[in-house]
Amino acid sequence: MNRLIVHLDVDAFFASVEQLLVPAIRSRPVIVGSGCIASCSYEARQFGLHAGMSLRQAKRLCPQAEIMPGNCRIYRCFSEHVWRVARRYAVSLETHLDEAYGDATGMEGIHGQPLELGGKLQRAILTEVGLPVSVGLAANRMMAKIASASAKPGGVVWVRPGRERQFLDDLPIGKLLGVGPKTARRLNDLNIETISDLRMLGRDVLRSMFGRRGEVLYERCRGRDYQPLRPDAMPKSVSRETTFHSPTTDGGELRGMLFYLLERAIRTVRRSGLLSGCVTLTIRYDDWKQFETSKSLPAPSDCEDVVLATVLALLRRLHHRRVAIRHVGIVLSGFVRACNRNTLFDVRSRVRRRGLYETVDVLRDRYGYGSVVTGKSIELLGRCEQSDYGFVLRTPSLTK
Amino acid sequence: MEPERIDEPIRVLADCAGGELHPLRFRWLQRTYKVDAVNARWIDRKGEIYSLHYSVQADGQTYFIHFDSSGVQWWLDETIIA
Repeated sequence: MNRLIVHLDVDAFFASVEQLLVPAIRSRPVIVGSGCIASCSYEARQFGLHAGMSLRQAKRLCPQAEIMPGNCRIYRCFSEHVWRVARRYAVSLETHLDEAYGDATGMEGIHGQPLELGGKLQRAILTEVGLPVSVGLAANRMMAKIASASAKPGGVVWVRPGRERQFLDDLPIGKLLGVGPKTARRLNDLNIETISDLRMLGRDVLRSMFGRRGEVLYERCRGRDYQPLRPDAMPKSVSRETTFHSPTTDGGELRGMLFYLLERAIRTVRRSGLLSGCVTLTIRYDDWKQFETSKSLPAPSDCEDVVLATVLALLRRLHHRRVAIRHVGIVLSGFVRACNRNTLFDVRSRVRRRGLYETVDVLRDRYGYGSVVTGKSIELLGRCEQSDYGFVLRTPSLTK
Repeated sequence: MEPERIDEPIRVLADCAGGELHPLRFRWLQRTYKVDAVNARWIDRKGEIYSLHYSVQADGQTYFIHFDSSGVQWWLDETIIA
């Protein structure tokens, strides 16, 4: 029996939410982001705007665009609402902020043929939440994702089992999952432009060119993908980053902001029942020179004090110029599940400290994040405004 | 488009038919505003506390209001002047 995997993608998610909230900006170009574009509406894309473009360039290309700073918390609420609706149509939902995979095998009896199911799902989300989604249906994850990408915006595409090759044939090589710009350039140099061209290369050739990834590409260009759905997938990384309201040379403010970002990131990690094994620090100076460095933690941890010690060591390694810093970011990665947080060699003070962090989490859950200010983030008092959700940052942090 | 932060408590007349709150009118600065349309609603959960947020149209303007379950109080968060 063929599986039926469904991939849902909310079209221009952040911009669509903003347009939903404010009718005056519907059908107008909308940009969400500060510094650079995090998301832009389809009306804005007609002017050549795309995610990642600097706002300066975006304003030049589309001066009439409405620029919204964005609100990650609202987006997350909408995201949860969308997935609540989607769970009626598919099981084992693997959710991300603006996309999800689900297994709709056997749902035909309830919701009809795949295209009908996709259409119903799309209409339910539009009616109940108000957001447009694109839906792709296929026998595996990769094909479902490619199908939904080709359905954008607001379409439903079903790749029938056995028709995967025909569907992929004329697509440019860059559309294949796992082929980034660099790989695409390498393949283009060999005159491989489409996915069907890639099939001319044998397994051994692809393996010699790309190693183990070559084997995966060999299968994928034939429409085969064996990745399972991961409803409880561990995130690859959790990051928090922000731009200072004005570039700073103040060590106290810098350390305060790093602690605050770290605290927010590690809280997410703790709530997911994970321990972080690696931390990456990024700083961008006022002259836009950016530096990044990573370090493994002595042991995977979910405690601020342990990770902060590593972050400060990285900061000493990285911060060597007498130029103001405009942007900082922290990425936690290398996660393992926290089955038993207490180890044989844990000292009592560490166990008590972990209890303290968990108590602070409970207080924040009940009275809002801003109800408790801890550690070095005290340095931000009087420098940054506060709300129920904590300090008001110039760039709202987004989670990967 | 100009957003203006308000953050003031308001009184709201709401219909709760069908298990959902639908704001109908709200009173702010001694004036009553009739809700012409609800643009969107979302729930923000903070542990056991939750707040029901609404973006509503009244008098041709957009207002963001929310009901806070902890203080059992309605708030006007923001208005957007088009």
